[in-house]
Amino acid sequence: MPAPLERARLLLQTRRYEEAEAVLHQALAGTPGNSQAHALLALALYRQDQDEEALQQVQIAIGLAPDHAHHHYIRALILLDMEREAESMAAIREALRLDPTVTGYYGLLGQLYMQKRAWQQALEAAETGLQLDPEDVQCANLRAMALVKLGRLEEAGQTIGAALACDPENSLTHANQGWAMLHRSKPEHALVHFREALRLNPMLDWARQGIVEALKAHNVIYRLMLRYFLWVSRLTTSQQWGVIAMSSGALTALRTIVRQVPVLWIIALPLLLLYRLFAFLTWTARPLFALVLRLDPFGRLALPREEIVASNWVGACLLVSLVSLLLVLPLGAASLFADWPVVAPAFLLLSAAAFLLMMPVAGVFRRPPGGRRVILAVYTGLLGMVGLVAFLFALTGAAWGIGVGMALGMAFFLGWTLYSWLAFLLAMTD
Amino acid sequence: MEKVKEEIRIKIIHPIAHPEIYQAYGKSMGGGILMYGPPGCGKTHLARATAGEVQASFMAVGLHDVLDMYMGQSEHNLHNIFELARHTAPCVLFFDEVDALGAKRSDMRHSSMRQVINQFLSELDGIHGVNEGVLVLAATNAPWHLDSALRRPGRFDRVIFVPPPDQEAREAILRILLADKPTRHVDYPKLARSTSEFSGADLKGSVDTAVEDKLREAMKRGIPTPLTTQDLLAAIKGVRPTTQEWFETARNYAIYANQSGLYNEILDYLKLSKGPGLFSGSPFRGN
Repeated sequence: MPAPLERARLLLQTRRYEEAEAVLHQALAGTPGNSQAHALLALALYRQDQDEEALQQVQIAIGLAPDHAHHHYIRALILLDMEREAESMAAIREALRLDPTVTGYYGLLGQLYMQKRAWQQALEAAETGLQLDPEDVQCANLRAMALVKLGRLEEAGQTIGAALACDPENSLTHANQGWAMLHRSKPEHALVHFREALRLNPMLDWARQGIVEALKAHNVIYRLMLRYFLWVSRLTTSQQWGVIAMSSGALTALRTIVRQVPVLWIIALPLLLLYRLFAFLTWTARPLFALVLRLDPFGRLALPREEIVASNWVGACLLVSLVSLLLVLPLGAASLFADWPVVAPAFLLLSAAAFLLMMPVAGVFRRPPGGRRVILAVYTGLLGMVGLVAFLFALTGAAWGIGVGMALGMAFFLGWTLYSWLAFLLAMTD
Repeated sequence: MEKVKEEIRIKIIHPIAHPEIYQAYGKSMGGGILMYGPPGCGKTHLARATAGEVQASFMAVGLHDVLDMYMGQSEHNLHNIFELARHTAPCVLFFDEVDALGAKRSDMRHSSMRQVINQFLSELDGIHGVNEGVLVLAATNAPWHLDSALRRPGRFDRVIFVPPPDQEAREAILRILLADKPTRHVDYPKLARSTSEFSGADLKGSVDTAVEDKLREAMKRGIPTPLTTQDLLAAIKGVRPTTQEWFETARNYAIYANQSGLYNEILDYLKLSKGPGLFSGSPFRGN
């Protein structure tokens, strides 16, 4: 490798990306048309999150040396960062076609399959990589996570154990072990590995998300919900839709049976209530238990800002709901026994609306930032407005006001029911 | 900042100015101070100020003075720098952005940089020569990337956090930055209050922006007018303190990787250790 390129490579290794970029620009000014210099420059730019410029440079590198597998690998990395998975997949396939002996390429291929929730293909890619280098930590980690997703938890534990024996200071391996432990419902063990992962690399988001889940899982209700969340995360997209369709079908069947045999309501009612509570918690458990975690001095610090904001909103709804509910009884008594206006129904309405509003509010934060989140946020905002106006009408205490309030309350409930369909529709078009 | 200055006085300035007192206590002249903190908060300035204070030679060493593409040449360059410092002792060596030369060796498993880091450690130990009279100052924005071996006694045995300027310091910086500029009734305490988390570099950037805006206005109107508090506040509003990003990273290191207590000062600065019991029984608080 020519001297300036070797210098740039050293600078890249020491995370001096700006300086590496300067050296490479200088090198290219002296000897233009060097594909390796363009590829290294692409890497330096990619490390500085300048993906567009990085992509331009690697395209030049590929144009100059189209048979250089590593250039295609760098292109795949950049495209993956730009969330252009299909193109990234094509690029890494090209790299593998040109040189099928590089373990790292299989690692990236497996990573792309993981993103597509194609667990079996991810496992195969990782195992091919491990055949080339049995000690490759990236492929070992990938194999372990693919096994977790396929429900082969014991094998996953063994794979991560072997990877940790090879490299006990690898933060990603510890984080993966933590997640594997969570999948096996062992939050205490998971916590140990997440702490170690974060000690080694506090910037590892994968471990930070894990430690928050492990801390929340101290609560038995959340632990049950987490089991469900992790189980769902192991399903492919079509399987997930299958679960939704089946549960909806089962619910309809139960209602039909109960209509024909009314006595079965005794059994069906608690089942339906439990189902409703469970469905409600699938939306709200994360922010609600984040709220609980904020009472813990460490948990408060571990929570990411996004979850804190979500828990603030959900917490505000819960507070309004509880305070309104507490006011219903004394206000009702006051209007019955004293000359107070009839405002208890208004507060009952407010309590119910604020409680139900927790679901759409939580749903907004379940989506990544972007246009679709804005759609849900606007819808939730409008829903909140309808609820508030309903409360204000009912607060007049007059019969007409309570009537209008109740009608608006019904409109709120209808909108609330439609919300979950809107959210599903947006998820389907992802 | 006063604490940092005091450490530099004790470790670097006084040993050179009063060697006899140090000899009387049997304290050898040597060792190092590592300064870390967000960018633009005066680490390099402190080193330059030290250079002006001491009656000794001062050598600022950058990565480019050491790094060489040929195998073994970087180590040789580093050795030569230390040799020169030993010959010209008393001498203060200043390594800016030392994380480049002293990166974690575990991150450099397959790199020739590993040898450079080993060389740096052995030069600090004085294996290749006596380091009496060689005082080492180093600065970094990323102490988390440093090899922990650098913090052993005899190497960088004083690790000091250089925080962003406090309100008093910000006021003083603003007064200096605006000293040669036309101003009218500038409310310095108010400006200082509005610039919390600003680094010295951010303050300079804000003043520059205010001046540019004023110049634009003067060109339009044809009449130059002095800078006012409102002009400066408007410029400050448009500046996001560059220290914020640093503290976001530092916060994570202070919470999760503080077993040695290295980041206690960051915890204190961010007011994350309000009581002694906050992290008690938790591995997240160092001793």
